[in-house]
Amino acid sequence: MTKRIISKFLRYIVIIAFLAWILIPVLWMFTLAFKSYPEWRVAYFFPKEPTIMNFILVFEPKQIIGMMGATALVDPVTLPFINSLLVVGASTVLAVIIGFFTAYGASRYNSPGPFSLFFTLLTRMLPPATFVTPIMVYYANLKLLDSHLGLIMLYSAVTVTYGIWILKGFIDQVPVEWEQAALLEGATHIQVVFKVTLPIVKSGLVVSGLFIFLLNWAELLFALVLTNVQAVTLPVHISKYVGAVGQLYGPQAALGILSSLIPVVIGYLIQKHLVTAFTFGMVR
Amino acid sequence: MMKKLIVENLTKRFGDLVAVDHVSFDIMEGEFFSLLGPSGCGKTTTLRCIAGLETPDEGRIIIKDRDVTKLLPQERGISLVFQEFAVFPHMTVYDNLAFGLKVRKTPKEEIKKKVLEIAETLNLKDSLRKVAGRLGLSEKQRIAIGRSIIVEPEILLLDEPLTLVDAKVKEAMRRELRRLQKELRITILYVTHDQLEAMMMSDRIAVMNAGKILQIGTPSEIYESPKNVFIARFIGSPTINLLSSKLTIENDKFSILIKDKEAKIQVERKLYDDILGKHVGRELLIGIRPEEVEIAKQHMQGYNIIGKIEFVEVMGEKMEIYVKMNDEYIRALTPLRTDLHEGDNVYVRIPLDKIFLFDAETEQRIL
Repeated sequence: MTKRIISKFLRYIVIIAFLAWILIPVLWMFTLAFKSYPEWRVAYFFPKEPTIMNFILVFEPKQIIGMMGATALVDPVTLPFINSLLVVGASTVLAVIIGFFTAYGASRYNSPGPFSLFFTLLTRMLPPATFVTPIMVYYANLKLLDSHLGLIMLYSAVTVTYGIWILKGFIDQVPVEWEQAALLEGATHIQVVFKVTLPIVKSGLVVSGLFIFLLNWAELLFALVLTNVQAVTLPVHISKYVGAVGQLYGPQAALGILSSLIPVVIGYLIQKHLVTAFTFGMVR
Repeated sequence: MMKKLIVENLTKRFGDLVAVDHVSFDIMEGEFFSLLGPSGCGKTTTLRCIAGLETPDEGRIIIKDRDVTKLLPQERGISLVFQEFAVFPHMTVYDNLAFGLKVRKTPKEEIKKKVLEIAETLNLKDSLRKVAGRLGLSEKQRIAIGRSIIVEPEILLLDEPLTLVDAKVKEAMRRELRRLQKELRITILYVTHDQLEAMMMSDRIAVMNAGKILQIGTPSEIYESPKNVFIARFIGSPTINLLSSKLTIENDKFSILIKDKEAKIQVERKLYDDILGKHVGRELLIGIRPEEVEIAKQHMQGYNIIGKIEFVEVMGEKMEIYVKMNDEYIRALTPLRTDLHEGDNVYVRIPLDKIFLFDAETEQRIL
C-alpha cells in the first residue's frame, strides 16, 4: 500500500519536474506581461501590482516609449502581426502543397531518389546564418528585400523538406492497392490522388502544416536580415523592444503572449487531426 | 457457353526469375475459376498481369474476344478485390460503392439506383451512411466486392481475399461469396494458397507451382486424379501418404514392395502390363489418402501391413492415426473409434483401387 503511494508520488514528481522544465519560461513570460516597469527585472513570479499597460503600449502609434530610461522606437504591432499571418500562412500552404506532391512521387515512384530527398534537408543542416548573407545580396538584386513574396519564397523553400518527410511517412502507410483498385474502377490517376490518397492523409497535411507554421512563425534571423519596414514580421518586431538604450521586457512579454495566441488557437482547432495523425496507420 | 477470359502463353520475368512461365488457360462465362498454389508460385503475378498492373513479357490476354494485353487496367473491363480490401476508410459505405460510377460521371439518379440495388444484395442497406473505416472485416469485404461489381466488370479478380480473416468469419464469407457469384452470375478468377477454399468454392481449379500450371480440372478431378506428387500432396487434408516402394515381377505378377519387403501389393501382370511394364525395377511412390487407409486390430484378409500406433489425434467426429511401420509413418483418418489406442499393434489395409502410383524420380503419376 505505502509502496504504491510512494511510486505514485514519485511519478507525479517526475511529471511536474518535466512540465516545469518546458513550461516555466512560458509562465515567466505570462506573469512578466502583467508586471509594471519596476518589477520587470525582479525574480519573482507574480506581479505585486498587475497591470495591462504593456498590452496597451504595443498598440500605440509610432513613438518613443520611454519609461525610466528604457526607450525604443517602435511601430504598433498591427502591421507586423498581419505580415506574419500573411507570410507564414502563405509559405505554410505552399510548403505543404509542394511537399505533398513531392512526397507522393517519392513514395510511389521512388522519385527523385532517396539521396536527393535527403538533400532537401541541406538548408536545415547549415546554420541559417551561413546563407542569409548570400540570399540578402541575391534578393537585393531581385528587388525582393523587404517584400512579402521574398519571405514567402524563402520560408516555403527551407521548410518544404519537413512537408516532404512527414507526408512521405503518411503516404507510405496508404496501401498502394487502394489506389490500384480505384484505377481499375475507372478513376484517372489525378482522381486517385485527389479523391483517395489526399483525403486519407488529411491529418498528415494538417500536422505537417502545423509544424511548418510553428517553425516559420518563430523565425527571426531571415526576417531580421531581409525585412525592414514593409514586411517586418512579429519576431523581428518583438526584437525591436530591446534597443541600444534599454530593454522593454514588459511589452516584449505582452507581445509574446499575443504572438502565441495564433498557434494556440490553430492547435486547438485541429486537435482532432493531431490525434488521428498520432494513431495513423495503426487503425485501418 | 462463351469464353470470358483466354490467357495464352503468359510469361513474366523479374530479372532472372521467371515468375510466370508460359501459362495458358480459359475461363467460361459465369465460372468460378481458382488459381491455387503455394506462395511464390506465380499466381498473384498472373492475376496482376490480367489486371494490367504488371506488363507481361510474352503472351496474350483476351477478355470477351478483345485482346487487352496492351490496354490500361481501367480499359480492360475487370475489377480486382485485394487481400487488404480496398475500402476507402474516409468515405461512407454509399460513397465507396458509388466510387466507380462517380469517376465515370454516371448520372446521379442512376448511381443511386445501382448503389441501393447492390446494397440490398449485399445486406449493406443499413450501413450506407456509416464511415467505412469503422466497419468490421466482413462488412468491408462486402463493400469491396460491391464496389468491384457495381461497375459491371466482365470478370472479377480476387486476390486471396480471405487470408486476413479468422476461421469463423472465413466460413461465412466463403458461403456469401459463392452465393453472390451464383446470384449475380459473375465470372470470377480467384487466387488462393488455401486448397480447402479452392476446393469448396471453385467450378474449376488450376494448380500452379514454380510459375507453371500443373493441372486444370474440377475440384473432384484434381482430388481424385492428381497428375503428380506435388498436386497429390498439395490437395487434401490431412496430407496424402506417400510410401517409397519398388516395382518387381514375381510369379507373373507385378509386385510393389513397400520398404524392404515388409509388405507388398500384388496385381495380375496381364491386366497392367501396358501401364506398369515399363517401370519394372524402378522406385515408385505409393500415394494413398488417409481416409482410404483401413485399420484392424486382428489380422484379416487384405490387411497385410503390420504396424504400431504411435500417435492418435482426435478431431471431433474423426480421428487421425499415425501408424509406424519400420521407420515410415502411414496416416489414417477414420471416424471416431474407441478400440484403437497409442501403442497398439495393428494391421493396415491399403485398398488397391484407391492408390496412386508415382514414379519416384519424375514424380509423375503412372497409375
